[in-house]
Amino acid sequence: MTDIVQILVSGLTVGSVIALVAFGYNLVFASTRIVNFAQGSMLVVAGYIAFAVARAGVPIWGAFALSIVASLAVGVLVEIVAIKPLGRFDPSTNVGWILTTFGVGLIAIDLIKKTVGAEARRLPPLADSIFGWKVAKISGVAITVPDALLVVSALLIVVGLELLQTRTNLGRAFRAVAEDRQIAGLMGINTELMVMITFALAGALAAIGAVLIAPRQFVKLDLGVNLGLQAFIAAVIGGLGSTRGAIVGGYVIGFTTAIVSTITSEGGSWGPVVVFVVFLMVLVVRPAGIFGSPAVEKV
Amino acid sequence: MHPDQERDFVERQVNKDISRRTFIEWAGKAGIGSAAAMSLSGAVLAACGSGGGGSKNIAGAGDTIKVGVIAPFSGIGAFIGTVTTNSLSAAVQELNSRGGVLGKKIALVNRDTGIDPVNGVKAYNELAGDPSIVGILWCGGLGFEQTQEQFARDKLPVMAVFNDAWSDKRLYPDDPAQRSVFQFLIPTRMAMDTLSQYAANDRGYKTAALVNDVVVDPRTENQGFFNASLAKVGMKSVGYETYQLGNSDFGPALQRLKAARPDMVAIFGLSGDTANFVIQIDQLGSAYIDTPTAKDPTKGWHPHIFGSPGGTGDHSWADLAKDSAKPGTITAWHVGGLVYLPEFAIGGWMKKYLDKLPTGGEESPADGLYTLLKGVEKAGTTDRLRLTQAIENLGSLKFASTTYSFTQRRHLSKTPDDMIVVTLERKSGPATTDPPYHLGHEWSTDFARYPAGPTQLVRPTLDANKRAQPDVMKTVLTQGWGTQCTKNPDGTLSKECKIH
Repeated sequence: MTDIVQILVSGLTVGSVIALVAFGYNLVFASTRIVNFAQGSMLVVAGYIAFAVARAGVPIWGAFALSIVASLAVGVLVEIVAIKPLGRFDPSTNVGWILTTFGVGLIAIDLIKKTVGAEARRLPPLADSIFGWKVAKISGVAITVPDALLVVSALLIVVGLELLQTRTNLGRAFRAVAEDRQIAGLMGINTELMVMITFALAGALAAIGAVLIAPRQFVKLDLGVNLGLQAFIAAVIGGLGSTRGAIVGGYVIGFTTAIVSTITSEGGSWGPVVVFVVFLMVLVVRPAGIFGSPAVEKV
Repeated sequence: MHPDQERDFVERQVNKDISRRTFIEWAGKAGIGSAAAMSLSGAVLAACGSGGGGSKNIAGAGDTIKVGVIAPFSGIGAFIGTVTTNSLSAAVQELNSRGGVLGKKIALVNRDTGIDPVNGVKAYNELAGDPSIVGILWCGGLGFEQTQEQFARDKLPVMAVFNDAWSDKRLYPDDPAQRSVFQFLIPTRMAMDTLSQYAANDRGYKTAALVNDVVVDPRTENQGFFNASLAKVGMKSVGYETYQLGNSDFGPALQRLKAARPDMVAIFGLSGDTANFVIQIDQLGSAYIDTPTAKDPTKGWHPHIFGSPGGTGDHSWADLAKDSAKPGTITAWHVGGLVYLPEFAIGGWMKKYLDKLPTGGEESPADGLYTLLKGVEKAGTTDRLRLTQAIENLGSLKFASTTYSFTQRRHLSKTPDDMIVVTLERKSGPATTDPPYHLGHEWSTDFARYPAGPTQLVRPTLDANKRAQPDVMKTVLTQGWGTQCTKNPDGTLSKECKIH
C-alpha cells in the first residue's frame, strides 16, 4: 500500500513540476509553431526575479505577482530578440528560431550568472500550511501543502489555458495565427501582436512555474537545462501544442520515474532510460504525441 | 586585515569552495561519453606531442621557464579559472620578485577547457608538444581522466591541482604508468574513509546507507569506495540509492531506507539535492536528533546525515534546507582547506599584487606551481623523468598555505592525518552537552550573519592533525578557530563534545 501511495504522490508532484514548464512550450507552439527553447531559461529568470523581490522584504505573494508582471516583459523581450528579427518566415522550413531561442536562453543564464551569481536560492512556499495543516501522512508517505498546491495549480492552469484557447477571442486568434498566419492577417488579426502576447503569456507561465516549483527544486541556474529538457519531452509525448498533452506528458514522465524508483534502488540510473523508452514507444504509436494532430498537407 | 575584510574573506572563501568542490567532482568524472572521440583526437595530436621536452639543460632554455595551465576559464566552471588565475598571478609575481627560478622569470601558458573534455585533451597535447613547457598544472579542467594515457606516454610532470586520480587508483604507485602526476586535491575515497572511521569509532554506528548522485559519479565508483570504507571499520551497508542531479523527489528512496533503517545515511551529491534530501527526510518525520536516537531502533528512524565535501562543506545547503538542516550533520575536509587561516601566504600575496582577497582554493594552484618549479630547481634540467624524481625528493614544502610533501611512494599531497570532520551548527548554538560544548572563534565572528554554518575540528584525529600540521593546529587551537568542543580539567579536549 505504501508503494502505491508513494507512486501516486511522486508521480503527481514530479509530473506537475514538469508540466508547469511544458505549458510554456505548448502555449507558444500552439500559436506560432515554434518551440521556444528559451522557456527553461525564462523559468530561471522568473525565479531569480521572485527571489530578488522576496529578499528585498516583499512578502512571497507580492514577489510572486511582481515576478509574473516582470516575466510578461521578459517574454516580450525574448520575442523581440529571438523571433522578430527573423521577419516573416515559415517555422517548418526556416528553423533559425531554434538557434535564436536557444541562444537567447543561454545569454539570459549567463547574465544571471554575471549579475546575481551561480548559487542556488531558496524561495519560501506560497503557502506553508492550511488551517494548521503542514504535512499529512498517508501510509507513511508525506504530503505537504506546497506539493498539494503544486498539483492543484497545474490542473487549474490546464483548465485556464484550455478555456483561453477555446472560449476567448484571443485564443481563437492564437489558433488562427497558428493555422495560417497570412490568412489570419488578411482576416484582420494583428499576427505580430498575437505572437508577442503568446510569448508574454509564456513568460507569465514561467513565473508561476518557478515560484510553485521552488520549494521542491529551489531557484538555480541548471533548472533551465534539466527541467527544460524533461518538459520538452513531456510536451512531445503529450503532443506539441496541446495543453492537456503537457500535463499528461508530465504525468507520463512523473509516474514512469516514480514506478522505476519504487522498483529499484538504482532509479537514478534507470529512470531516464525507461523514460526515453516510453518516449520512443509513444512516438512509434502516436508520432504526433498523445493529443497531437498529425500534420496534414493539402494538395 | 580588518575584521570586516576578514569576515568577507571567510564568507567568500566558504561560498566559493563548495562550487569549486562541485566542479572538481564534475571535472574528474564527467565526459565519459566523449572518451572515444577524445582518444582519437589525442592519438592524432600525440604524434606532435610525443618526444617533446627531452633531456635539456635548463640554462639553455631561454629567459623564461614556461608552465602550462589547463583550467576552465569559461563556461560553468569559469570561477575555477578565476581562482586559478588569481592564485597563479599572485604566486608568479611573488616568485619573480624573489628572482624567479635559476635566474629565469616564470611564464604561464593558459589553455581553456570550457565545458568540453575534448578541449582538455587537446590542450594537454598542445602543451606537451611544446618542448619549452616544463610541466602542467591541471586545475579542474575537464578531460583529465581521458588524458591519462598521454600522461603515461609523455611523462611530462602534471600537477593535478583540482582533479582526483587517487580515488580511481590512477595515481602512482597504484598506477605505475602515472609516475609523472602529483595530486593536491583531497580524494573522495579518503574523505569516505575518514567519515566511516568517525561514524564507527566516535559515534558507534553499525549500519549505513549511501545516496549517490549518478550524474556527478557516472561510473558509480562511490558505492565501491563507500562499501570498502565501511568494511574497514566493521560497519555494514544496508542501502544504496541513486539519483540524478536536480532530483526533486526522494520519496521512493526514503521509503526503502526507512525500512532498512541505517544508523547513518551518507549523501554524496551537490548542495541543492542534499538540501532537498534532508527536507524530505524531515517531512517524513525522520530528521536527525542525536547519536543515541540514531542508534536506537526503538525510537524510530532518525539517521545521522553525513554529507560529501561538495554537498555539505559550507553553509549553502543549510541556507536552502533551512530548519531541516539539523545541527550535527557532518562532512570531511582537510586542515588548511576549510580551516583557512588569514595568515596563509597566498592571502598576503593576493592583497599585495592583485589587491584582492582569496575566495577559497587559491592555495592549491600556487602550491602546484611552486612544487613544479622547486623540482626544476633541484633537477637543474627539464628532463621529464629527472624532474619527476626531483619532485619526489623535495621533502617538506611550504609555500602558499600548509606544509605538504611528496615521496617516491606517495604522489598525493594530502594524508589521512590531514583530514578533519566538519559539523553543521546553528546560530542558536550547539545542542546541550555535559560538559558544555564550545563553538570556535569563527562562529561568533565569521558566520554570525548566517542562521547556520560549518564549524571545524570535531577532530576525530586531533593527534594526527597535530602530527601532520603542527603549526596550523597550534594556531587554530590557540587563536580559538574551529570547534573547541568540551575541555577536560587538564585542558585536553573531551570526546563528549562529539555527541550532539
